[in-house]
Amino acid sequence: MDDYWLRDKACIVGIGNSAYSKRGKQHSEGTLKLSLLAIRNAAQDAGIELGEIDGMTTFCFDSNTPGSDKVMGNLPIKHCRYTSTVWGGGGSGLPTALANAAMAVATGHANCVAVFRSIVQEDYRMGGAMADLFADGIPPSVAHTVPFGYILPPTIYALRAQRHMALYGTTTEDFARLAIHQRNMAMNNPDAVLRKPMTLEDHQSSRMISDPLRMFDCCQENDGAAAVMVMSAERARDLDVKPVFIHAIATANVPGWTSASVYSELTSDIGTAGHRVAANELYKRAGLGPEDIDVAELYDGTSAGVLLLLEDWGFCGRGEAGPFVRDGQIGLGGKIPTNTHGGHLSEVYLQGINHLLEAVRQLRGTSHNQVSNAETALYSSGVGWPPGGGILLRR
Amino acid sequence: MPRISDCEDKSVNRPGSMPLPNTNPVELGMWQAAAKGVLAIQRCAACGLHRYPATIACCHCGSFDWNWDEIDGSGALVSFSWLPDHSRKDDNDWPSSWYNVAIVKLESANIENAHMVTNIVNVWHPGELKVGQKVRLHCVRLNDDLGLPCFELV
Repeated sequence: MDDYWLRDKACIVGIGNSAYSKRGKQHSEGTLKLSLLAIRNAAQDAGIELGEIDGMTTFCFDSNTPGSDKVMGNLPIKHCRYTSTVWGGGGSGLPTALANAAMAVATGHANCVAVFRSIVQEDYRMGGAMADLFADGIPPSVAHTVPFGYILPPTIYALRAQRHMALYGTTTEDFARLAIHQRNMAMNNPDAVLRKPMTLEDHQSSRMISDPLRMFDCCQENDGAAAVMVMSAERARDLDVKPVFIHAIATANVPGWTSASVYSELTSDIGTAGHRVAANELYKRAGLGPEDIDVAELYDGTSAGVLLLLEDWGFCGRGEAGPFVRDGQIGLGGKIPTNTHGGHLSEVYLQGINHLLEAVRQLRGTSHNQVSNAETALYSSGVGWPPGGGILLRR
Repeated sequence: MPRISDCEDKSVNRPGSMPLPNTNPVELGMWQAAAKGVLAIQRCAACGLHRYPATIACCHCGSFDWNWDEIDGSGALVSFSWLPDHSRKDDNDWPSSWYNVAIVKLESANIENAHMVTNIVNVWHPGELKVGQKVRLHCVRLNDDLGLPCFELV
């Protein structure tokens, strides 16, 4: 993979989002309208007409984002050349969705592809009264977990966090420090939904959700949408906007990860996020290593998941994420400034696409928590259904 | 629809309100075996390897042919999480209305990482569970025909 054909051939030329809000606040707008608002804003940001969009892709595993076809029908699109929907677990689909867009524009199959994701959590709640969802039978991917009461997404992370604590001495205070760091970042971000200061005591006294993870370890439930506009590097030269290059994408799973189980618990090491193979492949494709990354936006279904990702992507050694976070290495002056927008925990829960927008802002120099002179940014998906992996952007 | 809380075995801290397991051909044999107190998982008729969770084709070799294999229910606790059982609103005190979800590594399976999601029953305090503990099968009967392969501490 030394000769990675796609490297820098496509770029993100626009980013946009709807308003972000608490769950239920934008229910009357619906996912379609929120998606359209995000796409309009991304087009405006890129300085292009909506009619120039000729492709669209999204990622989901439920009815919470409209299909590309429905969105296309609401835009003044002249020629529809490409649509796709990546079906997978949560934010795991984002690297593949962006790869689809990048491949489509780099090959000349399409000219301008919008990647979007929306969510309105009034009707569909992660981990709500999910037992009632199974009245017509349990889907095969969770047939071996639901009868045992394994239905909450935080439990995916709790099982990994518990293992990590047992093996390496990681503590719930380490998880708290991560959550507090992200809240501090969100306090400077006017788009963030949660901007009230969080203390260690607030965290440790919040409601237990799935031991060892508490309420303040978990992502929010929100309404919102976000989109990025992807064009070939060649076409982007004609725009006024400064492009952010898609340097490399990798989505390889670790052995056992692609199983019949949605929760991928057959992996050899439950105490990881399962991205070590993707990390090796991504760095090889990029010709870079973790020491070359200036800022990381890591999928935070829960706080503990970010600690596992810091290890998987090589920012610290295996088992060292607790002390790494404790030492402030994820702060703006640390080794790898992380989740500088506040992440799912404090900005908005949007299945990772809001992380991608923040990575672009960092490389444009327009973040509310700007890492000085950031040239490279990593996005990683979380623990979940394959295909997951990482995206490496550069300016 | 029938719920697991209706099960006959009241001696264990299992979650209420969960739907009964599926009864399609690739799953039914395991739940039926558990009703008799036995652990049965799929074994490929072509390559001979075990697999879990249930699939119609072998994840090791691709064959559609398989049999149920009764294996010894000894294992080790890989990880666990305690959760509140919101179906028991009358009593939210830790731990009497809490349950655990656990991952157990099956020692008798002929594959690596034979991780089974289950419950560790007959434990009544969160401090009783520790990663690495030895566990053994303790099936929970749901009705005459169906049961769940749960485990208990050795």
